[in-house]
Amino acid sequence: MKRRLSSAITAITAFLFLNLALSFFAPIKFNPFNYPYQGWGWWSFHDLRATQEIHNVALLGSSLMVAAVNNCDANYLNRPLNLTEHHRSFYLDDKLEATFKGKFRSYNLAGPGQMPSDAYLTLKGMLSTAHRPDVVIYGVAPRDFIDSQLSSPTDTEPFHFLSRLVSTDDCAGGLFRDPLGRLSWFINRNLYFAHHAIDWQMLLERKTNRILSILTPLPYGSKPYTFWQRTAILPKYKAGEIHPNAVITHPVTKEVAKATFKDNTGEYKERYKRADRHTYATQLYFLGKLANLCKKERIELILVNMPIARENINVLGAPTYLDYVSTLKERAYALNIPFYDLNFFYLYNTDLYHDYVHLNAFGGAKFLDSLVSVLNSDPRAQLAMQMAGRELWKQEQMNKLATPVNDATDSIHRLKEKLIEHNLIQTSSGHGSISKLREIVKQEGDRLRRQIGARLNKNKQGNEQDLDDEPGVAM
Amino acid sequence: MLFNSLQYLVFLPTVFFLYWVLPQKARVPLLLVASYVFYCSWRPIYGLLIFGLTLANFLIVPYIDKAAKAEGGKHVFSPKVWLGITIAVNLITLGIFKYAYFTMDTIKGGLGLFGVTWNEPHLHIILPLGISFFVFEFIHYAMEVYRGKPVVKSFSALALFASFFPTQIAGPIKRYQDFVPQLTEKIKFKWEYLDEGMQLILMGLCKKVLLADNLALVVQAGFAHPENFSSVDMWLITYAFAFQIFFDFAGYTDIARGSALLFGYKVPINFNLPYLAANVADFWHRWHISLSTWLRDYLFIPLGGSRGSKWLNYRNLFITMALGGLWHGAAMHFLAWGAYQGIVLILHKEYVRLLDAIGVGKQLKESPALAKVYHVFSVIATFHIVCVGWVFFRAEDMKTAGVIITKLLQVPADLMHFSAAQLAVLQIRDPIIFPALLVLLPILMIAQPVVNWLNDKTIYKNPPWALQVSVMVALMCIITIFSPDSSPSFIYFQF
Repeated sequence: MKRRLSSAITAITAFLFLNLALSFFAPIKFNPFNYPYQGWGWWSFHDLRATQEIHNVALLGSSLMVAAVNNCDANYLNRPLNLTEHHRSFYLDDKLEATFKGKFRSYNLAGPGQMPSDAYLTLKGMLSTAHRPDVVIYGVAPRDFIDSQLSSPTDTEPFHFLSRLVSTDDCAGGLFRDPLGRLSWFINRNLYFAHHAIDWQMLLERKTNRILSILTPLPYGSKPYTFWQRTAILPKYKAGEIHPNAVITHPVTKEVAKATFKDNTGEYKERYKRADRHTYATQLYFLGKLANLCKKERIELILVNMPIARENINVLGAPTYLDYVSTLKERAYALNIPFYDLNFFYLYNTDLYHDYVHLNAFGGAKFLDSLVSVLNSDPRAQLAMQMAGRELWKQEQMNKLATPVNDATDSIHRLKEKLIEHNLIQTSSGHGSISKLREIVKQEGDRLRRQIGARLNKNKQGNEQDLDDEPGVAM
Repeated sequence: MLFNSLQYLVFLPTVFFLYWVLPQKARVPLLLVASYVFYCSWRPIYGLLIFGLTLANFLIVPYIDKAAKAEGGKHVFSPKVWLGITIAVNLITLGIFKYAYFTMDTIKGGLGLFGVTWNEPHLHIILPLGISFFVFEFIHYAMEVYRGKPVVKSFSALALFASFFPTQIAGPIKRYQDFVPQLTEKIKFKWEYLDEGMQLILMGLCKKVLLADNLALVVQAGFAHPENFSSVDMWLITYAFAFQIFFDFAGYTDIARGSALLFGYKVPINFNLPYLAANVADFWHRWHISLSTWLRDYLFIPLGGSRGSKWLNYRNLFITMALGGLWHGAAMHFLAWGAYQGIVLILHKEYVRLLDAIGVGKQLKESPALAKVYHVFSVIATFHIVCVGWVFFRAEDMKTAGVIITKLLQVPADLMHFSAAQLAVLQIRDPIIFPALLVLLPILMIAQPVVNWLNDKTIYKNPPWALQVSVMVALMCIITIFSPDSSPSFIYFQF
């Protein structure tokens, strides 16, 4: 009897062909924003996509930046802030406007545990899903470069989410510390079912849910488990998920801030204890990638060393800390980016900290004040901020002009006045018809959009997309 | 190195390829090196442990044989003494690495009862993977030599017997008289090795990632927070654990057997539809077969086995099962699980006696229809008895086990006024495995007799080529989709 082909070899070949065919024909276009849970990165990008506004300042950094900005804003706005929704620093925006004039609208893309590798992907994500900011302020601390709890850049929750939004091909060289990591990345990148494993899991989960809602429905009169009930019994399930009301920052008085101070030395002993050169070098590599990306996109990157308390530096070791600061200075100089060390010990006593690394509302305000102050004292940063403020202000003005114009004579008159104010027309005579004026406004709007790099149309299209997956081209 | 890791995905095909391209005489050394690489990938230092234990057994066990063959007992020690030395060396090693903390905790607790406080030293011992398995293999080897079987002359053969990577971490516990001869057989590559081996590996991985890992979520929640669940919920969760541990361990065994088959080696099966057992004794003939036969051959029988009085027999049974429980882990709840198995085995024997005494046994033999009904009842009852045992096995401690058992016992009262609204598993909609339990568990239960029925059918034993290929492709897709980086390790790895 003639022997058949090996079933195992045939199956492997068929499996590879199936992957190839599905990659090629892509019967389902998966929405990369769909994710099994809504983590910090998901909320940031969800709201960034949803908003039609242009932000000229983007903030990057770890929880140190998150705490400084949000604690400060809670007090500044005097209301509790839901951090899944609050992505702006009103205090900083107002400070910047007061100092540099013009209009400032920041977007806080900082996230807990964000490392330079995450920051790089975050900015790439912002560029590809929303628009280009004029200035990026990136607050760093030693942990961001040496956290021993995260041995590889691919270990973080933001990385997992963001690698769905942007390609990691250009930074693959810095992602892995062993060939297996590279192989894993290669498989995930090139094997259809591995690449879309999460998408397929979610798709199958949705289908199963539909069947289960018929077969095993929620009993009449009972309520489904809430997020809080579920996390009480399954704390590790969807560990990175953030419920809309789970992280709220409240305004505090100095007394309350002092009373709620926590000693987190133990946590940082763990984080610093196995710091290795490889992680450090990898994260510096990503800092370089971030700087180069900003250069390419004509974004002014401002690197800031965040304040941390002496007690935390003692855990790390003073020589290591000084080495870190000098390395950052050298690297910033080599990359031609402004670097400001804002860890002024004389300025921050423990009353300004929530713990030994995170600033409270008062510390946050002090930090943002000194940030604006140093930006204003450096001619390069000053110019960058002034230009950013002016561009957004012009954009805002043009937008205001373009929308409410009607054919009433007084409106045309007002529009002409505005256009003269902006040197877009010379005199109030001529350019008589409203359509001509609108054309001038449109042209100027387009110019500004190009300049700011806004991708509002793309943004708009993105928002109109159905959240469910759809047929189309994938990979 | 875990079977469900990328490391293994690279390691296994590499060894497979090298094994078949190298000449016959280089294959055993290759497998030996590969097995040590596999073991040392976790903690290189523990490679010395398995090597040292192999060397000790290789050097000492021949003296059992020599002493037995020495004319007129002219040997420094009797075979029994040499056997005792060998067993002691193995058990002391196991005791130090596995039971040191447990012993100290027990002593501390005992002293505490008398008001004595003792600050036990911290020994910094990490349990070496698979130690319980390879120690049992060495003891089996020594016992068999004592019983007159031949000594393994080749160090590499003995070393590979203990360290063979497919079975190294969680068995099945091999018998050297089955395994060692395979090392010297001149085998040629057959495509069947690859086909059948891969089928087993894929089936095993699928059992692990699709079933065991998902059921683990329910079990984790239920056993950590029994207070959140009703008695009916707790029964469902206990069933879920019964299937989780089955699919986890059976999945592991399938991968182990499949991996071994890739090299042309056959290792024993460990499971034979255990939840179709008609009584607890039958269950132990179907569950973790390589362990239960080991316990029978090297603990129960040496203790006296079924010889002697009824009570002696029961004592032996109880000790065997209790120690079998303790073998699974150094904790009181494992000991309790073993003791429970011993007790239910004894009760089963008494039950059979009772049935025979009142004539039910005879009636069952005479009426096939009645026997069939009784068989179904027995299977269901046995499954539930086993499930109660699993509570001791899975619970973090005896206190939690007690809480859960109490809850399970409340079920008749709760069923009197049962409504679906009491079921927490229906209220937890995420993860979906909770509401899916009510569909999945019946399917898994029905699947057991269906598989049993299919076992005799040609289409199941020798499926058509196209079906084999289709199933393998489907399994590959499922494994790729459902293999998260965070897939937990196999339950039996901790033993």
